[in-house]
Amino acid sequence: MKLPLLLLLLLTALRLAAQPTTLSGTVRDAAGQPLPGANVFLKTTFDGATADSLGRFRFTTRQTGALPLLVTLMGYQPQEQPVVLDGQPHRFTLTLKEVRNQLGDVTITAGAFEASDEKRSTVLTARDIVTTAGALADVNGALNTLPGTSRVGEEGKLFVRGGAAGETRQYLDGLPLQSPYSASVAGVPARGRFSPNLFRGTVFSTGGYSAEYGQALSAVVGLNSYDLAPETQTGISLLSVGLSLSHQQRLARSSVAVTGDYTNLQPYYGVVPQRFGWTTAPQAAGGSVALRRQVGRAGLVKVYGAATRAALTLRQPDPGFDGGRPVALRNGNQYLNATFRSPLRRGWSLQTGLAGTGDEQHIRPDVQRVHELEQSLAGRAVLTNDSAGAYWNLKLGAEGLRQRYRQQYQAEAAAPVLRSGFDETRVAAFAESEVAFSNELVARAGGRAEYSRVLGRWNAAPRLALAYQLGEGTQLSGAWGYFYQTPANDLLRFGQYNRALRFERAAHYLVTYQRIQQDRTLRLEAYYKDYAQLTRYAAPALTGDVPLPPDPASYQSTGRGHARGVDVFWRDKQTVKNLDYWVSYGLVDTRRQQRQDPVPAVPTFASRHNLAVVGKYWVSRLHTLVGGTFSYGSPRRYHDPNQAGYNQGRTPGFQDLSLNLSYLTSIRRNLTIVHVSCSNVLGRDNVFGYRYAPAPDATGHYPGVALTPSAPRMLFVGLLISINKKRPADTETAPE
Amino acid sequence: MKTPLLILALAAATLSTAAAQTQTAPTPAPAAPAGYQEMLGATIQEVMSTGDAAVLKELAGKLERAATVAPQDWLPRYYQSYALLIATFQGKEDGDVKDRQLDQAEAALQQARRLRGDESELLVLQAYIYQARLGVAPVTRSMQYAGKVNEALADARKLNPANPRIYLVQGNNLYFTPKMFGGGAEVARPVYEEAKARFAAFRPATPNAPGWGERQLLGRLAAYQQPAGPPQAASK
Repeated sequence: MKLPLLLLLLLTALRLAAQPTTLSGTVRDAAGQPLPGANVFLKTTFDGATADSLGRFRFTTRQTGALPLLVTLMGYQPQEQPVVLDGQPHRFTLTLKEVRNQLGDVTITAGAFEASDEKRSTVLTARDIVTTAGALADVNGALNTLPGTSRVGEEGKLFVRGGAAGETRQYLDGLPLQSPYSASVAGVPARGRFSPNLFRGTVFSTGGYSAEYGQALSAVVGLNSYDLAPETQTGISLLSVGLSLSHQQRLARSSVAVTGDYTNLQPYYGVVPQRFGWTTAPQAAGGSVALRRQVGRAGLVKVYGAATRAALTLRQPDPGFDGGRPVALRNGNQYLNATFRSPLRRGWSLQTGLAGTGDEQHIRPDVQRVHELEQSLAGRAVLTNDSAGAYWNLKLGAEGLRQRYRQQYQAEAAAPVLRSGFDETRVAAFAESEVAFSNELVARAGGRAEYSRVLGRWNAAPRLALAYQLGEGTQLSGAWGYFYQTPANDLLRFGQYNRALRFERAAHYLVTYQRIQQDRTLRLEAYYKDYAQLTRYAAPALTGDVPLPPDPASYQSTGRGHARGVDVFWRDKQTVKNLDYWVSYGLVDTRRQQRQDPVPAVPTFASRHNLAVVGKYWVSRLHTLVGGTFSYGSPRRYHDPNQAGYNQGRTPGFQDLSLNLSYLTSIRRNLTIVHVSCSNVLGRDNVFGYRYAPAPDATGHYPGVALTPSAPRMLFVGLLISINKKRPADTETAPE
Repeated sequence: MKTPLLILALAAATLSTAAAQTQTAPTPAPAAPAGYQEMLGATIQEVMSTGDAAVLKELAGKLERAATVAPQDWLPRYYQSYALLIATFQGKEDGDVKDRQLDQAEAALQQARRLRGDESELLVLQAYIYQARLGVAPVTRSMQYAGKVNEALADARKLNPANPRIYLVQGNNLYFTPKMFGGGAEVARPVYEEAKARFAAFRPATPNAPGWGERQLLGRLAAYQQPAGPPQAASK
């Protein structure tokens, strides 16, 4: 009796063991949300299942005994628990913990627009700069379609949030650019010195930027050049205004790129009538060499050198001269930039560089002669440790600048030479850390200290930024900081003799909301900028028409001002296939008392409302990219001496509609782009301001003339050929 | 650019074959539990015979499980990466989702690399992933990734010029470049012919080693014989 019973029991047990076990349940995150895609399985077996859209799973196994049940999902910590497989169904409620953010998952977006090809979610890509209508392939022209900027057509430079052009500092591979714009005179818009094709990415920060950047009250443009040239290629550009040749050669661990270009607007001005009397149409010749070399396992040395010569002579509209006042300009510019970067030990990496600039200008307004010479050498070393701590990094840096500025002035050829100038030595150090407090909250805290020898002073600038991720692609961020800048060269010339002169200062406060979903971006930013210690001086006295040298004692750091407003940016690449458009709107309310301003006033370069609508449409059947940009700037102020008050005049609003077209084809199998662009298609008469005579006429009236562009429209035609033996031309994708 | 890439992926996914893998090449299996090789082989068969993104993701999960059965074997990680890649081509998700899925595919590929898998095969798969990255945002990525695809294929060729999949992926690249600009069916044809010759000489090292692509290639070459094919092909 006993034996059969035992046998029966044994058999039952065996059968139980042989029976499959069913495992089921749900996988959720800490907040109780289902986690579809989680892989739930018995370790060391094929048995398992993937959680469905509700986080549910179910599978059966013929395994027996105890095995670990493993749950894995990318971005979550894997979880393991033992389970006894006894033929009975088991249910599980599994909760996965998120992997805590490595730094870099949440990027602080307050204030910054990044243009790069590396990340898909960036607001602007490098090719946008070349394909934006009206930008004329100028980096600054393209950045001028972003919110926060005001179009100042007679200058062509960047004016950000009620700040003057000099308040925006440009950096090339981390080194400050001393002369970022081509030489120009009033009324002739300047361009950026560097071709956009040099850069793989651009960061445009309109406030609250990192402690890495100094000497900028309003904005920073960070230009990052390409590393090794990817392939050997030759480029030929035939333009309606000149010719440009380039060649890059890729070697195993290095690359060399050379360019040469020549522009002359004379033929164009011969065909298209101009308002200004051009004696010598703008012409320039330049060349550059870029060397890249890999050093060691991951080090890279980059050297870039460029030189340009430019000249122009024209008659500027002026009430005191019949047919305009003659002005001649000659400029020579040399630039050399050498950088080295390499990883070191224990997570540290080094970035270092040296940049030298020489810029010489001869300007002849009427019979006066001005000669300016600026030479500078800037150096920088930055140590970064991205694995300083699990959830924080560290960046330490030092910068130095030697600057020599000389000016010679003669009221006429026979007049005595008046010499002025200064020698500056500036050193700076900064430290900054990014800390991830949680998966959602990241902070960046840092500080920067600077010493200026010409001022005999130092400053300390704290910076802080916070970013909170509200959800997938949605972020709320804020930034605060102090920003210092030494007064501009022309102010230091005389101001240096007043020991009371200080750094100019701005404090930024900003809040940003950004949402990037699929291919749509929305950004809203509100800001307040508080200016202090701006340089003021008394208007120089006149002897006849010639101003006397200013009195250094009148230079004081007592100017104040503010700028506040809202920037809105909307970009949509998704709604209409092949259409990409963005809308920028900036509202700026600003007043300041600076330089000769007798009272706080709206500066002449600021317009209250600024709008840019940019559209690009790729017609794949025609291999053509068409683009249009509409810009509007509300009336700007100017000072009218015939009326009471200061900066009380208002120009008409600025309007411009620019169109462009790029047609992709091939010549002997080499990719060829035919590019046509035209600014101000509608022929709007834009007026940038008025120039008045320094003294009233017999009736007591100050005569004045309107400042306008040289011609209502600018038409540009170019044929760009790239010769690349390895890669056949691809005309199916929109141009780079 | 996007459409041809999708067609390419579709073709690769639906026409790929595991036929080569069933050929007998009795190589001793690494220390893995009994039945592992058979289970893995069956799973690979499933991957090769479907074009359904959801099924492919399921199978990628199963291959991840297989990787825990034999933690020293690079093949489950390789096929996990492959399944996720094909699922990305087949899926209808938006770009960010695709990028994340490709991150997973690349993570699996990295694991296969750490296990010292066949580097030439891994590079071909890497090139294929780069093509998928390009397809997510062709306008902004074509410059960057077109170069990477070519570099990875060139490296794969250095390691093992006999790998037929190098020529298949390269041929596809040329095939979808417009005819008048140096690409097109006729330019791709000699590369496909080379792939055919390489496939004929190719024997996978083990039954489960990568062997996909031959059926896709034969389909491509067959298209040249049809009257509806490229005009040059028809006239010959």
